[in-house]
Amino acid sequence: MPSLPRAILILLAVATIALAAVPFVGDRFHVQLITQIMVLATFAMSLDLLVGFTGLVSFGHAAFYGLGGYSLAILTRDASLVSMWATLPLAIIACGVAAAAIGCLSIRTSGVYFIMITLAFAQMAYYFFNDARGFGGSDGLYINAKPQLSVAGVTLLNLHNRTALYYVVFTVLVGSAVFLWVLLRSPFGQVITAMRSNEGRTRALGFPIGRYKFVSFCLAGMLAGLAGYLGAVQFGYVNPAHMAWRESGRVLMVVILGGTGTLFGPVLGAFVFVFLEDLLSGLTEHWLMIMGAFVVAVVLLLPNGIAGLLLRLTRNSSGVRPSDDAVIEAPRMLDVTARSGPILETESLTKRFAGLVAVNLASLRFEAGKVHAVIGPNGAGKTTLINMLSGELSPTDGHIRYKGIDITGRSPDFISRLGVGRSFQVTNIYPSLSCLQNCRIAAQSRLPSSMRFFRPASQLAKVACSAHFALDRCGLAARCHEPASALSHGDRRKLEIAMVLATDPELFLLDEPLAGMGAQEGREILRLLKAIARDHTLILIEHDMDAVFAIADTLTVMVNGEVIAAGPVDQVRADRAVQDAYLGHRDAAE
Amino acid sequence: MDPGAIAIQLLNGLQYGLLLFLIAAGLTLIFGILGVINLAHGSFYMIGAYLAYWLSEKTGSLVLAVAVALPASLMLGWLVERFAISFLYQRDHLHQVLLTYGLILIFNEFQRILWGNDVHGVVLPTALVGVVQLTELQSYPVYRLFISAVCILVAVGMYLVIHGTRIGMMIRAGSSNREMVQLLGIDVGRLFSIVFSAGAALTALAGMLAAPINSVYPGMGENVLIISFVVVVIGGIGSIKGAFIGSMMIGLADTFGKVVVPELSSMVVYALMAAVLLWRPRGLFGVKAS
Repeated sequence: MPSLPRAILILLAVATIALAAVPFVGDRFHVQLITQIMVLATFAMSLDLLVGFTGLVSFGHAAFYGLGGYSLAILTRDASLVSMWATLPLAIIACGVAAAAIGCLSIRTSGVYFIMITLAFAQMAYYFFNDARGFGGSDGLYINAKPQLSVAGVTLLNLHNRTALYYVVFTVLVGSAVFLWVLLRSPFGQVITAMRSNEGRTRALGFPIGRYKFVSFCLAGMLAGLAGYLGAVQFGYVNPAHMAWRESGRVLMVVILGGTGTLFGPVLGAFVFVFLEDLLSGLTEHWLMIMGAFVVAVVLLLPNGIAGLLLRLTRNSSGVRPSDDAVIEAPRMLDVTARSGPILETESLTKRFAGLVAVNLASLRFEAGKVHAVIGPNGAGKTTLINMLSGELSPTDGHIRYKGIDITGRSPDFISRLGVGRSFQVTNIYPSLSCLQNCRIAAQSRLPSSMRFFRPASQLAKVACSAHFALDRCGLAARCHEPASALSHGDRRKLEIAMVLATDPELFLLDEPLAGMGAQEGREILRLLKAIARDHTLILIEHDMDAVFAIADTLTVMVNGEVIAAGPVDQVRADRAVQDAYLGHRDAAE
Repeated sequence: MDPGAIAIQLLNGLQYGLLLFLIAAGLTLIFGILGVINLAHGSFYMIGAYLAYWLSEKTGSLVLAVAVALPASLMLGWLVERFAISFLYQRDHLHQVLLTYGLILIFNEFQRILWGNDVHGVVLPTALVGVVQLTELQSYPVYRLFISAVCILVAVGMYLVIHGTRIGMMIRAGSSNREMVQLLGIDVGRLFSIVFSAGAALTALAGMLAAPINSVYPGMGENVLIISFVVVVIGGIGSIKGAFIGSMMIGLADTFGKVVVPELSSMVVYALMAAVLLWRPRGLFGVKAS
């Protein structure tokens, strides 16, 4: 999450102090209204974690809000359990369990389907509480006893008290904001933000993205449950309507209106939304019409919500100030000892797409420490082969062994973590992040786990070190703070190579590294690849035959899905079949 | 259940499914071709129903009301596409959701201002009153059969248009690859207008047909919106065939769910959708990544 401009930080600090002072100056009505808004703001922030940072648009988030309230109502039913120490954690755990159950099923889908499956689960929860016996039907349940916070028999807080409730809600709002802010700067936060901007790349770097989505979904569900608990305390009842799609839709509107992916945006959104509702409903009976017009106007005029407008007004044109990141430490010593024996083997590897056989019975052996080029005309099945090796595609038949381990059909993140890095035919990076951030995410994938939630990712010295080292090797050290989107085509390709280097692979798969490069850029990339080949095994697809002959130790020739020759370059070059099938028609192939 | 009762439930389920198909067909095409998540789609259903009620009160004839309301809703669809939706083609799905949510609020308030908060009934034309005797004890309303017949006619008409005309070819191409159609020099602006207005009109027609049996009430659009999204997602976004199969599944599941498990009936359709998505994460006939 980018650091905020100073003006906004000051604004937020002033707003926080003002909120803290409300019970001293405000009347009863406004204290209650603002309590209500702060509950909504906490709820909206929890959804922003999903929508704005993880890229999961949930249309069923109200289920967890409602469940938080129902948990409280059920626990305090006979007024025996009123301690906040017990009811609050139990309510949050209940929501966590529900989120885990719904999350593990929902994250298998994506995009619009994710929106709809979360809606489906929330509607099921709604109808369950509406129709099942013992939950009060559509009237819901009353909170018979408001929770108390007591230590050693002394009641510190009784949430029946308006002011006490106000400050508890205020503390929860500020606490949630701080928690999420810390979370987003942590290794975990970096991964989910990266995942939102480029899911395929993140998986190829070795992150099991399903797990990150799942954890994010659970955290958001628990935070929503916390908000729901407080909402139920304030209103004194909970009913199924709190879970219905209208509530999920309303909080989604608050988040979008405020500005997704900003955390403070949804909070602003909650204030604007509720104050506007309050103001307009006093003016006219048909206030929803004005509300609707307002929403339409916001979409058309403020595409990034209220927060987007504020950021645009306050961010001066001098650009983002480069943050001073960890200092480069001594570069890691490279293992330059020559390896021998096959690092990767395939056995009768076959991929069929419906009727088309893209790769047929390819049995190949790639020695460690060498550069292997795969050549062939367009449509020969080269990219399909690489995609099977890296796990993007699952083979129809046959086996792949990496260093003796069967990796056939394993996920791209698993294969990446074993030490197989890859670059894509179309350069695949995070355009919105700086070069350094791109490489840091990559290097972070080599930590035993990025499920670390508190320490800022920028303090991971080892990660920063590998990132700087990789950028340095690719000649991008001077540009490390520039956004990747500002790089030229050739430099983006170098950045992608640097990202893969930062994951410290042993085997490097490159899909047409020179495609679309100018002569000068092409020479630079080729020089870079030669340098990398000194301490890595390379398998590359390339059409530029001069480059191939300049760098490759072995050649594998594919035509129409068949491997027609494989072996040392000179031997394959002399092969009659290859000359007939391919080298003789070089121009046609390009 | 005896066979007669099953037959009646089957007819009810099919009739409900066919009606859903009219709504879902437009929604799935707007999704698939325009790439727009249109939350305001349910509003057209509501508007159709209210127009049927209002115009049949004024003219005394439901047939006449439909004859006026259908072109009117086509026109309304065209206006909404031109003056609101067309700004959203290049924008994020979230913006589309927000803007069309705003439209729902506006349409709902118009409905309240014009027709108030009461529930209204719509009188059937005399020709369609009455029942068909199925067995000695069981009978079935003529009007429900009429609804099914109209829906089937519309579905067949849609099939002929989509598979036999130039515009149908563009629609088929557009739902399988939207970008390509734009690149091929087809006037997508016009295509989008036609698809959106036709979708709106079909949905309004569904509202008009349903008005006499379901009555006319505020908020009727939202309920139908959610259920038709369920249909679209089960079938796979952009697939008319999927929308048809999905409609039938939901129609039958809902109708029989009410009979077999009355206390859990409302959950049945959502459970069905969750099950389909877990089995096929892009719906039954979905091809595109969304």
